Amino acid sequence: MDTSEKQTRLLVDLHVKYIQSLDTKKDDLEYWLTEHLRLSGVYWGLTALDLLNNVDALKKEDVVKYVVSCQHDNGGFSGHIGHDPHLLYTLYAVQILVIEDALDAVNVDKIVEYVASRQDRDTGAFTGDEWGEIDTRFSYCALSCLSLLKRLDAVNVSKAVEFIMLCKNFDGGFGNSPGAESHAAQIFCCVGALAIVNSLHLVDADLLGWWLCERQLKNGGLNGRPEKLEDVCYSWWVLSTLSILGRLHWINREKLIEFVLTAQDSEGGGIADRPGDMADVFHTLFGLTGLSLLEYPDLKPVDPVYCLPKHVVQRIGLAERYHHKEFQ
Amino acid sequence: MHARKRAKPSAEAEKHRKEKEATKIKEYKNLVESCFQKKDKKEFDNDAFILTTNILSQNPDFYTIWNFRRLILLSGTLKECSEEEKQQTLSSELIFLQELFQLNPKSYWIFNHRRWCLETMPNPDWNKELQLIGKVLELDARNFHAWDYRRYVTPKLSYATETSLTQTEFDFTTTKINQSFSNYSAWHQRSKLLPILIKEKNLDELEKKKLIDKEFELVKAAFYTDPDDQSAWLYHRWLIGQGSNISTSQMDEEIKDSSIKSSERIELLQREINVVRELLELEPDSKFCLQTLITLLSELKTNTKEGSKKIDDEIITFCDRLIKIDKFRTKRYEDLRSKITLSQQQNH
Repeated sequence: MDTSEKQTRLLVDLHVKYIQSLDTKKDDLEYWLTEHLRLSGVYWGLTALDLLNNVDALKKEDVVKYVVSCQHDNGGFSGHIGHDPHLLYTLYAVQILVIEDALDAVNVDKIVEYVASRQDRDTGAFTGDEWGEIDTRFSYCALSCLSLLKRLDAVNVSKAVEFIMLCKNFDGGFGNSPGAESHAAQIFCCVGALAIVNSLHLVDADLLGWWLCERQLKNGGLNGRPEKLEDVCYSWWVLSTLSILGRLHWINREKLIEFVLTAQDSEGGGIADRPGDMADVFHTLFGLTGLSLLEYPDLKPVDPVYCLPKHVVQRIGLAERYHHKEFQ
Repeated sequence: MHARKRAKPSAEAEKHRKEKEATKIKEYKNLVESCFQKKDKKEFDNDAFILTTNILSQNPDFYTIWNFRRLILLSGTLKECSEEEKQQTLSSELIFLQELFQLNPKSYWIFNHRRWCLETMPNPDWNKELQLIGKVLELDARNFHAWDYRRYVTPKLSYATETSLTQTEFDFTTTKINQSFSNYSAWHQRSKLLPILIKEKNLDELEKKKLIDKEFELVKAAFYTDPDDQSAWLYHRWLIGQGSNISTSQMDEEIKDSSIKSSERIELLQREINVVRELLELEPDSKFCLQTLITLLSELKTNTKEGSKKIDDEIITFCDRLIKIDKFRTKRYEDLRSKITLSQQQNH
């Protein structure tokens, strides 16, 4: 912490430049080792740019063309051209296309077919791909994706909810599968999924709210589980859930803003997992979405359920599926 | 992407790094390109297999390459071979995974492939898997991939050996908790096992009470040791069965349904209130003490008719103290306080 300069403002221009530069770093080995995350990277970058009022910093035509090239015959999308389709990337693709208002560029029926085929009809769970990994992350991916496509009718929603509820724990949180420990990112997936299908009444908001607000540490940052280190990405996973539950004001706004701002790279742009570390586009987005939920100036509001700019969710006519509570 | 320090290398160092990386990039790109060529042509041969080994050794998160590797195994070595050969092939896969795991203890894909190998094997050694994951948890007692894997392995082993492992797994959490009261993963696991243990052992009322009282003793030892750690307090709250999430859980059936009568319930609440009050005397600024007292007193109020005004007043005092002590979460305590004052106003 001491080695990094204390930042007191959001470095908007630097972050825009940083995101624009990501696809030029081809002489870094890292660029090639993360190829399987390319489509996710586009979603993280594009959403961040939109929140920064700079969605045009990436050329729409190029973005859409790239996303289209990641779709497979079975309807699913892969992390990069030629890689295998997976539910994770299918959601990222749909999110990007919704931001760009370009769903007509792909075969939506095929996407719906792919997502629906991932549901286990007996348990209601979703598998990430044909190899069968089950995780509540995939429940979120499926429900969010179908909701954005207005095709929730394609799956058994009550079964999906049943499975998510099997993953609920003694602390009011949720794990990745029945029996698994609560984890903030997993909790976002489960609570977000429940919000999408109007089932928030199943969440013990006071108990879970308590668990979530205890994630804030003395340095202002949030961790994802008790007794773990703080990380900027939990500014999203924890805050979004608190926001959905109408309890965003249960943490200290100023301290968290300070923490996220200090994790900015004041030279190269971007936000890191914690102050002094290397910035990356994943933490850049989740730092910004966190700040947006905290109503930091100069940022567009983000929807805590869909992790998309609010104006995008409004444009496609989806209702707000979370509790309102002004930051006091 | 996580926890890599930002460095400011000199222009010369940067140039040197890029030169060095250029060779590596070229090699890596060649590997990937050759591998995808094989994949596109559906050439599931040994050369392809070696390519996947080389790529995954550098990049175990490259999921498409794992998928291709399984296809190679399924259509090649594992097809039309003896059970013995099958066992041998997949055993060497496990060794390969073991090597990768040492360098990447948190990769989802390594665990996925491991499960696939064991499920495809004629004779998986689940006991060995349990030993292995025990060792991993010795190195990092909070690795949630490892805990998940343990929860995956135990029912398999239990099924294979036709013996319940609930007691031994329960004992495992005791060991972990005694090593560190802050091991939240172990407390969590315990909350899953306790109801099953009670059910499996078919305990009578008295035995059940004894077991649960022992839990109260353990959790008390934990929060007396470190009152600032949320883990034990959450477990305590769950044990009391206060949270509404408990009302649908197995624990509830086991503890409440067996009709702890109202008087017994009050007795339990009062006992625990006293335990926490004693600690509060020693640790007057313990926010978790105060919060636990609020929870316990609130339930006591609904169970007793008299003294509810007095209880409310005390809860309000506790809220005020919390607002002073725990600056980051003042709004939560204000919400709690408003709830009480609102209900007081409604009752008058």
